[in-house]
Amino acid sequence: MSATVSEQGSAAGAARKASTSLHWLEPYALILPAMAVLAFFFAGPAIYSIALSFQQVSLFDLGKPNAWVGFDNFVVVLSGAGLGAAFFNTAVMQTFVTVLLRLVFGLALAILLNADVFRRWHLGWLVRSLVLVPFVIPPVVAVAAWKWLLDPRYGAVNQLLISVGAIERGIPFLSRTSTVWGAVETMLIWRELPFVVITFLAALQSIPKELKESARIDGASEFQIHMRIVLPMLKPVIAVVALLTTIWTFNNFVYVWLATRGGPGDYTQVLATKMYTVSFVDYRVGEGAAIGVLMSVIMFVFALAYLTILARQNKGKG
Amino acid sequence: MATLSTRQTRLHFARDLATVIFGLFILLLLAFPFIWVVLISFRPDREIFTRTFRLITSVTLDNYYALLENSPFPNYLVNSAIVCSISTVAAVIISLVAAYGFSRNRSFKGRGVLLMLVICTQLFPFVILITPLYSLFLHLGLIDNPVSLVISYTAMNLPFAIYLLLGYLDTIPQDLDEAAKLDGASTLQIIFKVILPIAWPGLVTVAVNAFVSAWDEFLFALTLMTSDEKKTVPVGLAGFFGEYTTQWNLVMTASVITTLPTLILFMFLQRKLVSDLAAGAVKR
Amino acid sequence: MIKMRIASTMLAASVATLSTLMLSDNALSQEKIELVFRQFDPPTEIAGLIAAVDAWNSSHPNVQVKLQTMTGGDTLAQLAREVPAGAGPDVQQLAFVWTRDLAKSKLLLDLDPLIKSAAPGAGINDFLAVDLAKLDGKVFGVPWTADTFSMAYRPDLLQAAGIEGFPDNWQALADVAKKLTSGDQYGFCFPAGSSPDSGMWILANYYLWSNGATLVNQDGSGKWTVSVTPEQLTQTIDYFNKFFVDATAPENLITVNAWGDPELVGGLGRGDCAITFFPPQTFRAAGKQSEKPLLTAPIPQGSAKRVSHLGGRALGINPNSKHQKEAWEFVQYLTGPETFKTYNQYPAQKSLLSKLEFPAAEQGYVAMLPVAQTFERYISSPIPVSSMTALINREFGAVFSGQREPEEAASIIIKELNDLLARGKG
Repeated sequence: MSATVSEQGSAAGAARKASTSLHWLEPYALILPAMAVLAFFFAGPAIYSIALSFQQVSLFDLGKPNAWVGFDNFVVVLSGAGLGAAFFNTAVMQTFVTVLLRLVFGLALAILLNADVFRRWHLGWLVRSLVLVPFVIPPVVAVAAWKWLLDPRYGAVNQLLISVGAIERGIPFLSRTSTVWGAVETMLIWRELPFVVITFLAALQSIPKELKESARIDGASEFQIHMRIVLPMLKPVIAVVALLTTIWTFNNFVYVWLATRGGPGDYTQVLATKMYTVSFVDYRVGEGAAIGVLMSVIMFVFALAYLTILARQNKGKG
Repeated sequence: MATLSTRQTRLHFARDLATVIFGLFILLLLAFPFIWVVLISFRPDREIFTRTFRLITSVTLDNYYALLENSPFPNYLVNSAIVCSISTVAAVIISLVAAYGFSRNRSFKGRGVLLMLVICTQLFPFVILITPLYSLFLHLGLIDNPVSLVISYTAMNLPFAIYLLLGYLDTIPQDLDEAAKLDGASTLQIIFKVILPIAWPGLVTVAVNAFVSAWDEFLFALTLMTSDEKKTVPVGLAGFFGEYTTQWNLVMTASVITTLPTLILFMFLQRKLVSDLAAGAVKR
Repeated sequence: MIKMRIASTMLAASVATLSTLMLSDNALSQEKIELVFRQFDPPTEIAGLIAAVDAWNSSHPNVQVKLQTMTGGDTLAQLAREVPAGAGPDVQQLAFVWTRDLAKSKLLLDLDPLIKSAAPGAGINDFLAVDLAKLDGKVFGVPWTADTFSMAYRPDLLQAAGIEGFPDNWQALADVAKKLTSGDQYGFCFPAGSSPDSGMWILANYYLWSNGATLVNQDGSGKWTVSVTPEQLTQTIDYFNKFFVDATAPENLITVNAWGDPELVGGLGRGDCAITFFPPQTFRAAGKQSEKPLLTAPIPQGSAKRVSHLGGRALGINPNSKHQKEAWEFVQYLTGPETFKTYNQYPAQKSLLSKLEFPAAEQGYVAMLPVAQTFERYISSPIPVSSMTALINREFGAVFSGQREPEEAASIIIKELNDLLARGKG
């Protein structure tokens, strides 16, 4: 028996020695398929995008060579009226608020749905399936459904509020500047929350039950368990989700576009809708590309800072 | 272990019940808009609007007949299903391998740069990228060919998938890898035989996101698939919105039909959200 | 292992697809010609068109036409990608206002030679709005269908409120709207949304034009200037804002952009609105949804005249088309009387229109079509009409939602129009 094991051991050792010389190649080989696909798909078009931002191009002349105008497009964009407001809307109203709320509610809901009782009562399947419902609805339908729910005359929300006497007449949520962002944020969070929830649900699975059990036996309350054990172990996943949802939300176009088109007036205009309008309504694709480049630069700087801080924190832990 | 008194049992039951009720309530709130869409799809065109909030009005299957029998919509469903399934599987596999590479090798040359490059692909708005990509696919002869969409969706989903799996794999201890290496397993074998079974929850998350993103994707499907038979669901849906009229009853019905396969697929997949890791696979 | 299996399946699938595509392509080019015709109306609106195309296909076994549908907004960008790359449909449905821009960028074929060889209909001059389809005197699109807007209303509701006839001018409309507003019923509903494509643009221009104003104008020396005065703009904004101030229009309309929105289309039938304004197709859809009959009436007149805009669709041919002659034959067929037997749109030809029997309910359009004017007055300017539209809609929406006063919005509009003019020259 022991002879076989040592034989196996030395055989494995020999195999390892043979592959050590090429071992350094391994990470590159593993990453290669992904990088190849990404390079094929993004490299050329990304350069094209950046080049476009330095040209004056009309939508109708996209396929042809066009005049180079240096930084003109950037100057026009940065000095244009409404850019500051669009940036504020994008960064704060659309991104910061919804990412924060999604992280908080998502984590809370995931912890709730991870409770053992659902497994014991055989409701796990129901709970995990129901949570996905908003996510499987196409955005155009989700926004349409919400627009009707919020309709001042026919919408369920207003009708319920009226029936409990909270208001007298239906509130046209999307028509008023006081409520329109709340409505758009609600639509966004509603549809995107499930993804955060199942990501956290999945991550919660990687926490060994014994850890929680032993803490419980030691007398720790559920709250303490979650704060001291669960949350720290989830940090890598929370960090990744926060970064990805921030970038994705910052660039997001559909919710504002479908719900309000940036209105009323341009109250809910965000950078992505501005880019779309400049490119496809004003036909100034070069300028639109410049807005796109600016958005990319902002997010690049953010991602860089974020990842650097994260790496430093991880190094500190040792 | 001391036996629980009846009072403690009842307290535990009360707490359990409260948790379940609260959880289900929140979920029903989340699901309500969809339930409402389903209800509307069964209403005749005229009754889509009601002055007072009524859950049930008259029920008709007209909308479903119109959609399933008289329109090319079932084709769109098939097209979408094929393209999205293939691209999701491809994205999951490629990203798993890449994420493993990043996760288990923390100091190879260029790691930081490559990771940043992956993120960088997320920064570009597709609305601008689509034009050169159209030319690229045209030169490859792939316009109106579903292969172009499969490639596109795989590429679009990879960055998110890689980062998500990276974060997830980082929470899986490397003891299992070591053990398998000692047994002489190759890296690919480790990934697919050892890590994959444990990483199901992460994989399900990535698959769900990839599938839904591909399923809802509009711009590329519109640009790359030009003939009517090759259209996908979002493009088909958009076709109901006209300059003069919009067929909202058909839109609602189409949405219900669209989401059902996805929902059923996930009801199967969600079992895998519970992993074996917690069952003590790790012995320190 | 799984990876390899999947990879090889994918490879096989793509090879199979590619070869089928190539084979089928070969087969077609040997025997018959296939034309691709792209249009942008939703399937429920084109039953008659599909019937006409099917009729062509059965009588032309060697020239088969394949109908493609792509939403209007996306069509322009798609053409801009496809045509320079050497692709694109043979025949394309166009909005009137697109033709010249597309022609300028060489995305459409010059039709003069084809028109000379085989004149369409009763000759090109029988067609409406040919001016919009011309660039440097050459025709790049054949006007196909025409439409305009007229007022639409519930005669029973007006009768119940004791209103005789239909308000003839704008002030009368505002007054009548007040009488018609009570309880859940509003007097006048219109798309007041801020979207770049909102219908507010149309209504605003009707008001301006009927009062003798226009946004931009070319003076004798050919120079373009902003010709609308701040007072005229302020008056226009004020007029429509008053409907919200007086609550004779529901506040929710600030979010309604499309004239085909269910709020408006169904609103008449449900009695939410007594009066609104529609193009013909939308009016017919509203009629289907209403139990009570609906009627149309002419647009109210202003101090100068009664006017509406002449809109519609044209047909263009792709410069890349390998079968220009056959495409032109198909275009002639589409603009011919056979097609209009089943295709439920107004033909854009005077001779055909004069023979058309308008339903009793559509008399409003009968009144407006002769006085309708195209957007040519803006299209020949250096400013893209879509930018003007977006600007007007945005500022009007800002006033409606209380973000600005009408005077402020008017001065912003004029300033930005001047900026656009200055930039357009560059």
